[in-house]
Amino acid sequence: MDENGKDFSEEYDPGSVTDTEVKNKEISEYIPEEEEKQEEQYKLGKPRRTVIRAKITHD
Amino acid sequence: MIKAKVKADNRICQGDVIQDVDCIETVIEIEGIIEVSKITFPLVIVLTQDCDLEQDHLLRFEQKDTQDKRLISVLVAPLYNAEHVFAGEHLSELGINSQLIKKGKTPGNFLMTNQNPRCHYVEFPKQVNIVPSVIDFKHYFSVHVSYLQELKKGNFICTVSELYREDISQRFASFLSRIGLPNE
Repeated sequence: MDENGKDFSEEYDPGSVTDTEVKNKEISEYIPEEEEKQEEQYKLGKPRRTVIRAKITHD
Repeated sequence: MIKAKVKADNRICQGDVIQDVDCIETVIEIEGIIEVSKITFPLVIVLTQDCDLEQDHLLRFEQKDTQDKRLISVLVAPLYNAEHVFAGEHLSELGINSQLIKKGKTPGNFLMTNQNPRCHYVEFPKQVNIVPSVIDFKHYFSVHVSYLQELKKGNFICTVSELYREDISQRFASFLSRIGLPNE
């Protein structure tokens, strides 16, 4: 409870993102974005950026 | 030319050159889609002090009451192909244009004789299959110890000999501790 008398105890729910929920997340899909040109340049010594997107599913 | 050993120690060592090292830029989750953006560097060199790496390694295999010498991460810096650096295109795949450095002119000579505080020019011995390279101290980043330890098993290239690695580390520390003064 704060100095104004507001009770936060009900708002704060440490279990709102539960371990179970995290465990139930499953990477169902991921799409690496690779380009041939970038691969060639990488082999020559240039760093590359890759973005991986994965869809999270819940049981 | 520096000296380097191609035989790998079983732990991470200061001066290790390791290939294909990821640097995670962002991890974002939006409406059930998780997006990870990473930069993969073809080559990096380990900058963390060797005594710290040794202590960390020992603590991982010994049971002690305190583990305060365990590391959280290892500092590394990328090695870029020197020709790409001179051409100002070593970061072109990241959408970053760099200044052209003319070989044979003062900036090029400064870089190749290690008088540019930001960079360290290295030529490897014949047994190491790496082209002349430039370590860019400004691009240092950290990687998790376990990640790098695992990566080293298959991606180790060489380790820079002690005298040369200390030279690199001292120049890195000097660059990092510089004091930027205003132009005017």
